[in-house]
Amino acid sequence: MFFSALIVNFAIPRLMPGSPVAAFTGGSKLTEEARAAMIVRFGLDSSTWDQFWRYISRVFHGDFGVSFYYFPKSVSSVIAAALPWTLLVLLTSLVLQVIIGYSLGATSAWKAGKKTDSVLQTVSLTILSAPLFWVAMVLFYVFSFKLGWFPYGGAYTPGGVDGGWLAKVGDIARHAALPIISLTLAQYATYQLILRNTMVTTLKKNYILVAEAKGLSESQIKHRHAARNALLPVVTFFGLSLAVSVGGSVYIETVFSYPGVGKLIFDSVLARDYPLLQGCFFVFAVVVIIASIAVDIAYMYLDPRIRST
Amino acid sequence: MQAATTTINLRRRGRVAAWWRVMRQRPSAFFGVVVIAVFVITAVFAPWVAPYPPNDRSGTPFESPSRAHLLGTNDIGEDVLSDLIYASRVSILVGVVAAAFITIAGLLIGILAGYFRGALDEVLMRVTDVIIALPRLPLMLVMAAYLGAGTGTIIFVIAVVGWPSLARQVRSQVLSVRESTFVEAARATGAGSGRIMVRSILPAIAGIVIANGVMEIMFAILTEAGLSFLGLGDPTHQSWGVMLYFAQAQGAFLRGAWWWIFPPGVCIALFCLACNFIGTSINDLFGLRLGRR
Amino acid sequence: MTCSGSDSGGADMPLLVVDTLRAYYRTSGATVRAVDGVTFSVEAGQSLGVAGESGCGKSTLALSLMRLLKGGEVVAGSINLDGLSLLEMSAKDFNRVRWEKLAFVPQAAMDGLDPVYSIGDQIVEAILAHRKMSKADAWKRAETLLQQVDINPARARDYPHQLSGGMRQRAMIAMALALDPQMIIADEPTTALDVITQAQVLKLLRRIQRELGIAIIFISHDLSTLAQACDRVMIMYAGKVVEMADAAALFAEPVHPYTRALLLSFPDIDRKMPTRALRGAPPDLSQAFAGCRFSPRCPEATEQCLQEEPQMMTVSPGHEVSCHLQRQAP
Repeated sequence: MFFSALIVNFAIPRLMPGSPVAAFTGGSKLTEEARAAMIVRFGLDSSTWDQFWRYISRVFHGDFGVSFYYFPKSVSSVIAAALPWTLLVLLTSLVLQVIIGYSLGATSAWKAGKKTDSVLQTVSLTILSAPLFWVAMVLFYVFSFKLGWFPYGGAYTPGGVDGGWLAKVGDIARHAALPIISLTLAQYATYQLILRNTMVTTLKKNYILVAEAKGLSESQIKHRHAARNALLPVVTFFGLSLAVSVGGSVYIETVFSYPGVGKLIFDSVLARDYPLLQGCFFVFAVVVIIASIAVDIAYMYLDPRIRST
Repeated sequence: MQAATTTINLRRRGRVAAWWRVMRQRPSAFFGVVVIAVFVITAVFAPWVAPYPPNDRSGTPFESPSRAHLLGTNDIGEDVLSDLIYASRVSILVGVVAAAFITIAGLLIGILAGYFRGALDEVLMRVTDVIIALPRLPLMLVMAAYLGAGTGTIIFVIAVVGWPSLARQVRSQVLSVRESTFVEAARATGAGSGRIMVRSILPAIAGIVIANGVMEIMFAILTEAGLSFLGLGDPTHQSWGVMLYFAQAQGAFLRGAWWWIFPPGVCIALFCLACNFIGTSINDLFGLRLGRR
Repeated sequence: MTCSGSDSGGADMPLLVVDTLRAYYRTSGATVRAVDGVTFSVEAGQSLGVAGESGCGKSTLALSLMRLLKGGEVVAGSINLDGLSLLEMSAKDFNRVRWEKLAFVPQAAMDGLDPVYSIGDQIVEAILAHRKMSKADAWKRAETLLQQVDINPARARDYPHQLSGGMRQRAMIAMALALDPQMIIADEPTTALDVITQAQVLKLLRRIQRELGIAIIFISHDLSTLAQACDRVMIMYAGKVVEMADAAALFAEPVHPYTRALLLSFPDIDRKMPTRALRGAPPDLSQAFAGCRFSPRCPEATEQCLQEEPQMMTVSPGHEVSCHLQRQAP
């Protein structure tokens, strides 16, 4: 998986039309000497194999080259500054998505067929159908612009906030709030719908009947037995959902001018900053891969049948 | 040959009747079909429906909604409603074309891999798995950066990212059909087993294609909107996503021009909601008909 | 061995009295009368077998007794367990009756035990839902229970999928015993088990009944199983009881035409008579019918049978039948 990300990252610029040199110079005319010098500088004179090996070794040293736009800062340093913000939004949102999706899904399944269920499903489906960036725009318009509850952009107020440590945390939270809310809104519904559908099947099983016969409380049956068994497909979905959320953070950070890796990718596309672009892509790919591994581990923990095989 | 065509016709008629039944039982499916029909009709008859021709600066910039301009005007004084109607053409067209490419590519690769197996299957599945494992939007952005902005890029990029999962599904269907009929056919006739394979594959695949088709159109439209919003769309042929791009870039927020911000998104949301409803109904329908689940 | 029996009233008072129980499923089209006027009683420490074809209402009966009926409701009648009126209790009160006085063992399929928890955990769960004790004590009790059903207590940490079908069923029985219930309802507990395992489970249930004095309601479509395991047997047809007697009496001298047909359809090593299948199919329970429900299929049916519903009458001590063709004992 890891290697495929590397290979793709390497292959794409070479597969796409236009030479990397032309991309770098933006198509302006160069003298023959300048061109030759650039080719040597970028190692384009050696064979593709050589280039590949050099690329791999550089990656393992954390060297993604130098950003065009933020010249002369290295790509790694630019990404490193942005990554914590993205992770803050992504991880917080993920936790919220799962919690909200789980509770709504469990409630929906428990009351399957009744009004609560239909209402919950329809509302969530509607939110899910709307494009994420547009939802972000709407939220921005209403809450930042019209109501002024949240700031216009950035991860924190430039120049700092007085009041010590707590005030600083509060400031960061205020800036991160809308991005987190938008991302959560965009994705929670998938968890809800999947859990609901799986749980409806689980609720028909005999062990639920036995649990009721044992005189267990409703919440015990709902969560300890029904939802717990229904979690497996949800967990499987988690990995996929993270990949979507990762993509979503691009939109969110753009709309809210939030300085994360998502915004970085967007800026680098516009600025044709290829090294930065590829660095960001790589980071995203790694995040997704780590998530898949986490999902596999969680799966093993959740289902004892897999554990013993 | 004769017999084959009549059975197919009967089946189709049965399907339409079944569809009608489902529609009556499920108001959501009915809603979906109506909404999509409305969108498609307005798109097709845009010149007759839209109050103003495209790119016509009929009003002053950033006018709020009035009798003359039901949805106000944008930053250069064009009627938002007309823009919206003409944009629907682009959005829907791109969505359908991209979905078509996904379907064709997915079908082709899925069938090739499943039917011929061996080394070809291995290679194709490797490629498929790699693409599936990578985060979609970043991958699309990287490709788009090299290809440059434009509708063609968007369609290409959506197709590249979209075909793998369809290919996987098609392939597994082909594999299971292969197991069931191939052996029988081989025993019975020896020659002609290929033809029997084709006859049994097609209905199985048709199911997947139709069930996925609607959702792929939805995925394509949402993705096109997103990519256009990021500035990769074609400014001269506005889609709903491009409208939102301009809204963001030209300061709709600062001017409080909610009439520019809300409608394109609402259209996308409605269209996709309709697709969702129809998609679920199709799944139910096929589940019933084929006796699955 | 502990002996838990009814501690209310004298030895005359049955543990469970069910009077004219009716449980219907109401759908948008029709009302299915799954249990339609069932009356019977079970003494403390006695085992009652309930037999009948699929759809005769025996499972609905079991679920109604546990108040676990889904999609249907009890519309009339009463259920009295140890002096408590089960149908009239509040849900909260009944939850306390559950498992303490009345336990349940479902069909011997995979699903009775939750696959993601160990069997020990599930037994402990049942105990702690009703008793205050430390988890360690509850766990010890769980191990003791497993020992009682001939399962190695060390296996308490095992998950259901690690046990064989027979062991799973025995674990379920161990769980049912957790709170010393007065009665256990077993719904097809040996179906889907192989013959040898069946015999093991039946022997276990018999032992529980005898040594612990627990009454058992044993539901099955397999008459031969009931013959071995039960003191009394009750035959149901189309939601009604058609015959009820001591097991020995029922099998030796079946009275109701349906019972006789049922017994004939089972191969018997001794009798060497050919098996005869019953003609026709069970009636549609959503259609009301004035006469005896069995009469359309009964080879001995009369006009009266088709018009008038028969009442239960005693034909000999302890032997009741619902059939017009029988004579009431003096």
